Amino acid sequence: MNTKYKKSLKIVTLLISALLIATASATIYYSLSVDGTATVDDTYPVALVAGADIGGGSVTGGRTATLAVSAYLGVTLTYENVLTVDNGATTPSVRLRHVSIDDTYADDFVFINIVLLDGSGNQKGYLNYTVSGSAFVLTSDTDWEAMAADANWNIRIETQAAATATNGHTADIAIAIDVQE
Amino acid sequence: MKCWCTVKSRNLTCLISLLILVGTLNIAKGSINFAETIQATASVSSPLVTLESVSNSEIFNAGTSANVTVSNETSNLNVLRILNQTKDEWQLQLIKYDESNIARLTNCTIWFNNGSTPSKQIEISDGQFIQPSGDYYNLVGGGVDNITITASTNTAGTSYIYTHLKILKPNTSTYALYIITFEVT
Repeated sequence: MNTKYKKSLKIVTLLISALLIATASATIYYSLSVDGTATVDDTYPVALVAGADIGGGSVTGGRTATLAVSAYLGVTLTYENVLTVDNGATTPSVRLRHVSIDDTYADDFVFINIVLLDGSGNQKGYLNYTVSGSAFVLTSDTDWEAMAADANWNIRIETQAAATATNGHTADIAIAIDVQE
Repeated sequence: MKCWCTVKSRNLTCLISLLILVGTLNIAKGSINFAETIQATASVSSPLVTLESVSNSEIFNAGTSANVTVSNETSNLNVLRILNQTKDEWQLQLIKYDESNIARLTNCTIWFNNGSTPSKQIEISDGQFIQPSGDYYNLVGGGVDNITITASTNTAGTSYIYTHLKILKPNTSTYALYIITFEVT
């Protein structure tokens, strides 16, 4: 009994030692990654870049974009390339994510669609805001999608205002593009 | 009793080891997650280009949609006027997206016409589409273009040509699609 107990104790000690070493290694690796990102501040592996249709919008530091789009009464207005999602040498997973939308003037709109497309025009995710009563209703595809190295994806926005909409009314939308490496 | 204790001790050791390993998986994975944020504001705006009836047409949605009705033996009839409400240039294109009962149309031609340079956009001959869309046509700042139609049929009935008037901002891929339906009786 004593010998077996000692053996078990040795195994547990060994496992804990191995675990401490593994944890320490992983922690150092993680810290190194964070340091690298901090050093090269303007070269995120996946960056937002202004597209041909950004108009009065802007992109700051590849991480934040502000967009201003119009919506015409009863007409579908399409911004095919409002933003480009530009990947570097890594192969991350990417997804669209809804954050918030302001319902104040929801009934002035028919829809606001935000679509993520790959370089061949294949849909990789969408956030479609339609209107029910006085509120926006979201249907979405927010699955993680693998992005190849050096790939450039595209964000398209489609809008339509209601036939009875009031000029100047707005809808503020916040969304995110999550990146996982 | 001794045997039971040994088995229990081994199982406990295995269980603890397993729990510790599973619990530290995230540490070992070392993945990086971050989010890029997009703040968009959509504003209801007056259309920058509007349609106006010249003849045989009805206008809807604040000048962004129209129905045109013409009869057999219509020739070079201006039916709609396209008005540029801005000082910016736009590019226009008429694109067929659907049709109904066009076999009776011996000829139906629709074109843009600013008085000097016409641009054929849609042509049907002997019930077949010869041209379902046209080249881009410049609408200058503050300018006016007409939509003109010629149509003839060989039997009684009603034919429909459903089109989009595409209005493209030059050097971008920003565009609006206006619905214009042509009815030939």
